[in-house]
Amino acid sequence: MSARALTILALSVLTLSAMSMSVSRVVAAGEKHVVSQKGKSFSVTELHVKVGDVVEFKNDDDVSHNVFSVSKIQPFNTKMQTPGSEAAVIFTNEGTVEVRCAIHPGMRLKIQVAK
Amino acid sequence: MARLMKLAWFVSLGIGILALSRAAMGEGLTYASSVGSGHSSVVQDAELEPLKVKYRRAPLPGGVGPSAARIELGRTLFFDPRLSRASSISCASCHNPGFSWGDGLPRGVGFGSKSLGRRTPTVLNVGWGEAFFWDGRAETLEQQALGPIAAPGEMNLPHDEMVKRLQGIAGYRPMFAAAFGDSNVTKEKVAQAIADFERTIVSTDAPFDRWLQGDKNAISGSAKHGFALFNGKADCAKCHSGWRFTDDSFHDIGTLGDDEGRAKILPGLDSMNHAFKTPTLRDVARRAPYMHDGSEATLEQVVELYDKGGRIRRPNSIATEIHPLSLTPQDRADLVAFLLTLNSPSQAVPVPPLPR
Repeated sequence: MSARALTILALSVLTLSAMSMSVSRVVAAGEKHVVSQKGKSFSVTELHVKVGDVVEFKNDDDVSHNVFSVSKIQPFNTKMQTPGSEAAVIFTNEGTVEVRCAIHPGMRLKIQVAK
Repeated sequence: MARLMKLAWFVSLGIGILALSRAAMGEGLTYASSVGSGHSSVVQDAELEPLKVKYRRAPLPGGVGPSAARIELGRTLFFDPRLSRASSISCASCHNPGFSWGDGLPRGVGFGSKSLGRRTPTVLNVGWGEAFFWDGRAETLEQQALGPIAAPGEMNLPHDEMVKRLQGIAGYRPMFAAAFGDSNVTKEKVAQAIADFERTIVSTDAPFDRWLQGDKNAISGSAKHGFALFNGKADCAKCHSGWRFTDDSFHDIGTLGDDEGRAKILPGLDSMNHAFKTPTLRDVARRAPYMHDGSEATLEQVVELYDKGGRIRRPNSIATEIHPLSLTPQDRADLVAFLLTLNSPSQAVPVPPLPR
């Protein structure tokens, strides 16, 4: 192989590995947690996550839900979730997030977000 | 002529005997006969067994209940009109035990005989409730109790004035002492006592419960089919679930009007637009008219609302559980027959003597 070809090859390999390293860094930092909704309840009442983690709210119920939070650090609204659907929320700030279902007042979940 | 007359007599007699025997046979048939002619849905008791278990009574949440003295103080306060500005309206004025703890009106009536925005909800079975008021703005009974007392449109008595007034009634001092250990009146104690009393307002066993417990004849075949529809194609049990026949959930079910419901306290959530709390169906036949504004006069009209999938379908908020049901007239009659089986026996409720 000529020196030029080798250089181009080496540079491509370096670039590609740099790109894949950065991609895998993002994936590793953001862990995914799944919270199921069934029987008009959340599968857990408390969850500990880290900044950058994703929580996926799955509707495994036979009724619709609307998960939301008015917590200052992470307000969110998954909107009306029909049975079988999923909605993901990324937690970007430290603190406590009180999660409720707007439709079913008895459904409560506390998410503790740590660095 | 005589022979013709004799023939006519015999024919009439024959027809009469035939008619009588058919009627007698009708009594002996299974409950299929009560389900109207041409209607093929006969429900076997055995098919409904797996559903019955979802409707067994649950115990009151929380630990040991309050003392008798607490409940007695709460009952007295509940019936005491001196908790209102003109000493004319007590909790029981609108939450009237004679009207199944409501007032039988489409909308409540408050201070100065002015009509309020929404219908008075019942206090029946509230001990199991998850949220209170039509929009769920109170999370506990204690929070709810203080609301109407101070609301200018309702009892119109600010809490500090209420406390001063009660403190000045000598007869209340020993009652507060027995209930709370000292005779000092606070609004928190008032709320606590009223809530403790309200938790004792529980519907007793209805024909439906006797059927659950094994009495096959406690309810009619029509009602059994109604129960099957309630849990099946009519989708009622999606929200009117459990022994209280409610999960306290909030939905836009397609009632008319401009009342934004729970959206007022949870703004920005489309699903809460025109959403109101699901009420209990225990003794529901005693609490006409229906909906948050009394807009449906009868249970038949309520069933019609659901059959149509709502009187109005707002695309951003109508609950996914609300959709046209394609019920037959017999289906609708059977659903109402079932709802009637949720009436427990009528009971007189004592009014306590009020302290001076």
